[in-house]
Formats: sequence, structure tokens, C-alpha cells
Amino acid sequence: VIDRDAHPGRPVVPPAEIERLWRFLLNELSEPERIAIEDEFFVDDDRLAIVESAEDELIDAYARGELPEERRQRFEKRFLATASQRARVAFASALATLAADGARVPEADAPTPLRPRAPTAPSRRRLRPIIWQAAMAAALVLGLGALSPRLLGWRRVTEIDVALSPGSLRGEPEIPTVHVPAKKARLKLKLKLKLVEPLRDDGDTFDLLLRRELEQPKPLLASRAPDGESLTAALDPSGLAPGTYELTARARHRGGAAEDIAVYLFRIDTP
Amino acid sequence: MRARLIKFFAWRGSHNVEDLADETLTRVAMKLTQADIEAERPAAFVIGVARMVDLEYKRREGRWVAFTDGMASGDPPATTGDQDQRLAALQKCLQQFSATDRRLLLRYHEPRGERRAAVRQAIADELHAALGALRVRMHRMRLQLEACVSRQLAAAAGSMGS
Repeated sequence: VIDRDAHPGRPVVPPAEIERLWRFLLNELSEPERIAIEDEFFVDDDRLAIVESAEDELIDAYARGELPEERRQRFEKRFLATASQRARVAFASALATLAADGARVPEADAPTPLRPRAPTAPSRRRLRPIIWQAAMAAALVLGLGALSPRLLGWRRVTEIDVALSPGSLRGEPEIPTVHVPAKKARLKLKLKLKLVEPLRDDGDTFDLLLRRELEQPKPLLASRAPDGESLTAALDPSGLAPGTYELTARARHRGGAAEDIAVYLFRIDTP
Repeated sequence: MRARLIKFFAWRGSHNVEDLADETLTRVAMKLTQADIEAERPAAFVIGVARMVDLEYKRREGRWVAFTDGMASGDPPATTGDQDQRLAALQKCLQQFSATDRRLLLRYHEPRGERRAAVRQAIADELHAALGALRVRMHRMRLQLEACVSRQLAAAAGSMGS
């Protein structure tokens, strides 16, 4: 998908650079700073593409209601003046809606209309920076190798408790690993997903999106534990290829709006 | 060059950007017919002319602020029906991408707020790509998608009008 040859030597755009480009796009820079950026993108295709991608991100941030008030006003003055600009913002909003409903995007050619989500509102349970929560990651390494062959021979379901905490990032050594034996009978992973903040029982329903790498996410049902400290779900691991999986927990409010509440990572390992 | 000029004027906050880009190119063409033009750095020359055109435009525009502001605020807001149509067009246009690219594009645009940076870095890591290269790749795919959606919406509007 990505031109891997472009990786070595290609400058990484740090967040500070994106911030500088947002200031450029919102006319917050001094004239000499503005001219310097213009001179760069006018002669350099890569620089032009980077400014354009920063513009995409700025439009996305506005469409999702993530800009602070002062910037929001500045954005509206500059980016909502013409019909084509407003169409770009509407496109960004539609793309955000569709991306959030990614699990429901049809693979077939025939499109299925989606209902738009409720307008963006401040999150009740904002996701905290997940990297800071990595310390809470609880790994449950399963000793399935010790399971009795006799037990495996029976067609009964063997349940395995897997406790996960939000926050592990890909590549971190502490991502919990579930060891699934090659000759597995019928296994069920009983997932206990710890939450950063307890959930009140206010009528929300919960689901999970299980995703490996860039594969299509698989939806799972989840339930709130009685104490509100965790979500529980069951997962049949048969058919899960080895690799790192991302599990996004979502709350669906009574009005139909969905909200991501936590992300969990774990690995499936087979002999 | 014209596309670049359009971006230049748009990012300077001008509205009729295509006219300004054409005006710039016309002036550049006229200047080039004169023998005393130094053509060692043509891009610098063009952007210099563009800045002059922008300055003149801003001076003229100042007299028309009240009129243009009034026009902008008088446009009808987008309705739920418009957005439903846009979503349907977007879904259709997404089918022009491979399944892998489609998932990549949606995953890249899915996370909100603080989670976004971590997820995008994770995607870049998985692809062994620099984050900047990933951004540019996503931007190019998005341009294709946006153009496709515009065509779909224009076609739908045309069929409704006929």
C-alpha cells in the first residue's frame, strides 16, 4: 500500500510541523513565515502534498467538532466561504461517519445507505492517551499446553479467561498473548475488558470490533459487568490467525449514537 | 502550475481562486514576451506575480466584503437528505479501491481526538512507512474519493433536474 522505498530518508512530519501548517492555513503566521511555506510548496511536490494532508486533517478536526472555539471561528471564516469549501467539509463529515461505521461498509458493489450519526458532541468518557495506560496492561498467558488430551478429546467447550486492560500499543512487549494450541478442540475465550472509568448502568449497549492488521473488523457483542468496572464478551478463537488484534469497545447510547470507550490489544499465538 | 496557483490563492483566503490563477498566468505569459525577463527561477517569478495579483485582489475585495458575506450566509445549509446522499455516494466510490486500501482509508480516518495519533502511528509502523508518507498516501486516496463523490452528486443532481 505504501511505497516502502520512500521510508528511508523521507522526512517524518512531526505534530509540531502539522501545528505550524495549521497556523499557516488559518492565517495565524507572520507574513515572512507564510512566504517561507509558500515558497516551499510552490517548487516541491512533496511539500505541497504535506500541506494538503495537513489541510485534510484540519477539515476533519472541524467536521468532528475538535477545534477550540477561536480556531473554529477562524476556520469558518476561511474555509466555509464558498460552496466548494463547504462541500469539502461535508465530505469530511461523511467520511468520518463512514469510517466510524467501518464494520458495516459492504464489500459488494451495491452500496447500502447508512444512517448518519448524531452530531459530534463532547465525549462523556473520553479516551485517555492510551500510551499512558500501558502500565495497566494485564497479560494472561494461558497454559493451554497443559490441558489434558482427554479433555480436548471431548467435544465440550473449554473456556479460557482472558483479562485485558486498555492501553497497550503495537510493538510493546507487554501486549497480552493468548497461546492457542494447534490441536484445539472447542475453545471459548471469556474476555474481561477492564475499563478506565466505571460505567454507570444508564441503558447503553456495548459491542466490540475485533480487527487484525488491515482486515475487515468483526463485530462482537459485549455486556457491562454488574460492578461497571469491566465489559465481558465471549470469543471463539478458531479461525483467528496468529498476529496482533485490536479490540475497540464501543458504547451505543439510547439515541443511537456510538462512542468508542477503550481499545485493547492482544496477540494470538499458535505453535 | 495552475493547480498550484489555485492552492496558493485558496490558502491566502481568496475566494475566486480560479480567476486569480488565470489572471496570474496571463500576466506571466505577457511578461515572458518581454525580452528583459530573467527566467533562471521561473517558479519564483510566477509566485511573485501571484503575490502581486493577490494584493490587488485584496484591495478590491475590501470594497465588497459586506456583499460577499451576505451571499455566503444566504446559502441554504446542508440538509440531512444531502448528507444521506453524500454518504451513499461515498460508499459507492469506496468500491473503486481495493479491499486493502478501503480498509486502510477507513481505519486511518476512524479514530477521534487523542487516540488518532497513536492509531496512525501504529498503521505506519505496520506498513513500515514514515508517518509523513502515510499522510501523503491517504491524502492522494482522499482526493480520488472526493472527486468521485463530487461526480456522483453532480450526476444525481443532473438526473433529478432533467
